[in-house]
Amino acid sequence: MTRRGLAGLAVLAVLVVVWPQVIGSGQLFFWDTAAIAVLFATSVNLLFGSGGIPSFGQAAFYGVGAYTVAKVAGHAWPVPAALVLAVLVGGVVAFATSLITWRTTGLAFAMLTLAIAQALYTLVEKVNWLGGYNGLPGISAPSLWGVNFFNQANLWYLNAVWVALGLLAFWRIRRSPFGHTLNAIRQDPQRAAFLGVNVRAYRAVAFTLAGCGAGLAGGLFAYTNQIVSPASLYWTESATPIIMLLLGGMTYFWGPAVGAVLLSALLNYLDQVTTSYLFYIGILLLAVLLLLPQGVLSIPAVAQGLLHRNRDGPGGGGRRRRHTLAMGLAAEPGDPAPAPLVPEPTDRASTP
Amino acid sequence: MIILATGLTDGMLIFLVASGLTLVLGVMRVVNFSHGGFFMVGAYLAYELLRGHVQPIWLFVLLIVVASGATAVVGLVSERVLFRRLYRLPEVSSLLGTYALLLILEGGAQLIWGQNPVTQPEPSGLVHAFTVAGAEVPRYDILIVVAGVLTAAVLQLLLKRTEFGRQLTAVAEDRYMAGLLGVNVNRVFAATFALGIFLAGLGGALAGPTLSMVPDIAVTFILQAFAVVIIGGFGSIGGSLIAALALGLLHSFLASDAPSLADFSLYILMAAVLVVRPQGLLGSRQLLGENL
Amino acid sequence: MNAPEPLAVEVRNVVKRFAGNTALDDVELAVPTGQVHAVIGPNGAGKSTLFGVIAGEHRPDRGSVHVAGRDVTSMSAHRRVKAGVARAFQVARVFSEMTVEENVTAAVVAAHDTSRVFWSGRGLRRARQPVADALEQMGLADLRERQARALSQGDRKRLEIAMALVLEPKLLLLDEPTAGMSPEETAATVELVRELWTRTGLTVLLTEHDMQVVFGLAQQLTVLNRGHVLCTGDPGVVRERDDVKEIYLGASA
Repeated sequence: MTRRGLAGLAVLAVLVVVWPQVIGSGQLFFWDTAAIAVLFATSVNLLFGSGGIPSFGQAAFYGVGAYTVAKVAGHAWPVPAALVLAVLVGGVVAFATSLITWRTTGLAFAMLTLAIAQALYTLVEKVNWLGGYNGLPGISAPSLWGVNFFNQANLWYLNAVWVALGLLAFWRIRRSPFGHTLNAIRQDPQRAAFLGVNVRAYRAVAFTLAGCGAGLAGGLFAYTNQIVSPASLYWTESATPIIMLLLGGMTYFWGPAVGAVLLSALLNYLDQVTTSYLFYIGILLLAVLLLLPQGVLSIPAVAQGLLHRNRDGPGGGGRRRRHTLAMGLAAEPGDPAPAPLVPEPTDRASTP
Repeated sequence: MIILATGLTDGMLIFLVASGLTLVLGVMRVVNFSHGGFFMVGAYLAYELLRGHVQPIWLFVLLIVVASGATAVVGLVSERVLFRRLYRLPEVSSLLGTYALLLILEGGAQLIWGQNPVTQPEPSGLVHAFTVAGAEVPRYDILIVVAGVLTAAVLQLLLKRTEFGRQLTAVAEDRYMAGLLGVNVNRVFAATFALGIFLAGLGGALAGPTLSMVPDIAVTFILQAFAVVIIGGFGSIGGSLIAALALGLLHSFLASDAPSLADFSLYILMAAVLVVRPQGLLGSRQLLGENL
Repeated sequence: MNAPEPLAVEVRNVVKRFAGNTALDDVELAVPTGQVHAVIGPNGAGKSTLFGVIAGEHRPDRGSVHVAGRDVTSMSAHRRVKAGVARAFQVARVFSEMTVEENVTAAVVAAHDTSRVFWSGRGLRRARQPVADALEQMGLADLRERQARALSQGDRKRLEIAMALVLEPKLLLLDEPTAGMSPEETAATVELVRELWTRTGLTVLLTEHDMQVVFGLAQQLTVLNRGHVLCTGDPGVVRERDDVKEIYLGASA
């Protein structure tokens, strides 16, 4: 990691520590949910950004994680054990799903994940053991080593630590040979197969890992929200992290995180000023898709690209053009917009 | 008997929505999540025109067709403004674009009509029920079934017997070749989309009296329509009709005997078809975008 | 294996049909280890299908494929790579959003079997030296930071060969290695393959339209026509056969 990266992380860590003092406990619930969304969106981006795996059913694994914690919290399981269990259950259900989807790709895969997630949703909604339509209320994290999580600040620290662990794991995955190979699979699955890569198995592993991340996020959500309901599994919940990662930029590791914070803040704000936030979220999503397909983190690169083009003058392409392409821009106005799901820049583009 | 009638009616309503969806998918290769939004727009526009009052049948039918036409106009505008840009994007991005439009339509309806349910009574003369074989069948159901049968017949004629139908089929099979052969692909796209959205609006307008209208029907109905399109086969009208009726009947039988299984079975069936025969019962494989 | 010199690849009685059309009809091919062997024939003769059958892209309807004495007929493409088959495509396929270096890295971690490791970055660090060596060897060292999509067709083909070579194959399949290249690039590629062969003794099976390339490289020729093997033999002998001249050389002359 670069020194700038480390410095940035240090600043972030300090902010997390002082945050409860800075904003007061009334607003902490919002920040808890935003942090959980950061983890959820980052986990989904392993599929979309790295693997090019268009899953529209991630809410299922999030919901499964939430229900897992809700059930064992009733038996006063210690927090780490409950959360590890949420990770495992999320992973196992995702792995089972990946076996069902084993031979399916593309649009059929997207629809299949949607169908499986909805099947789970209708099931959870009907099962009395899981509280049926009303869900399971009254969840709380039991005290751990004398720390009481009814205290809002302590709950925030709990969330922060586990979200950080989750992000660390996904950072590790992205910077691993597996992450590199997943990138290759996204760009040309058949070519990857002719390097000796078992593409279906790699996709299944990525799907399982993303399910683990979603399970953890869901588990944290159960403690934070204190009630889980089938609504967590509903299909529109699967779309939310996708909007987040598009908003931030799926080619960057921090893209989904930035998108999650931005979208959470926007939703929070819209909730206060309008009866219909959906309308504005829809417009935002369209604007990102059409105008800023690499997300807000690509804005510096876009600006830099424009600058380069102006300095070069017309016809000054050549070597420079390669650079702007590397930054993920449509090089010329009127070019078809670059496709967000086949993103151009590599990781290094995030630190220009 | 009543179960049969309910199943048939539900199936026909879903067919109306699914036929437009499968048409747009087959011709334009766009998975249109916003279709459910247009269904809802159709329902609300009909409600506005009928003003929530009981109307004579002829006026009811007329205004419902007008509402569907108005929905189609909204669809046409969105095709011009939005979908033209989405064709160029990869399938999954265009799918998210149509999801965005769904949010905009649903949100717009929330802003205009609010979150509280509104209801539209059935037209006079169809308020009561027939007694068929000892069971009460709502008369309004007959109207829906008739509309469904008419739609299926007209679509079949349109696709098989007209110049537009031939152009549409040509574009669906290979838009590039069709363009080379002199078909105006953009016009066919626009017309197909308008037709598809008209059907969505018609479904919504007809469904109005059977449900309590909230903007949320935009997202609840679209998944059933998707299930039908997938089971029937991407791009197949006949497949959609069969799948819609089968699902409607299955749903209504299960709802009376095993209510907890009704919705579940829908998605399990949808998943099973995707696993075993991803192109659906009567669909073609080339629509699947294997290299996505 | 007791045989002193096993065949690098052996295709036995392979039949492959596509929607009723017979692309390969009872095709036999045997390439001894260490040979550069060319498959030639007019368009539609079945060369690409034959490559596809050997690489695992297509399953033959009948017959079998053996690589280094192992029956690979029922193996999927990725398992055949492990059995020793590497290939370059007619239109070079590389990961266009990656740099040259990252492309070769993907091949190296796949070859090292570290590509499945998601919990550690060590595999990527261990790949650095082999990647640098491969780039040096193929003359791509200067381009290592270049995005693959910005490469010329010739460089892209060299990159693809570099990726194939780090897999340490027993058999290298080159589908039209000089297609789309300038005369200079073609000459350089011929030189490259020849040098590669003298250095490693690798078995190479190639298809090619350019007869100069074929006669410059191949030690043995197999002529395919309409899915049948017309003949196999030394280039000098094959080129003098009347039937070959008629269907192939005659057609292009």
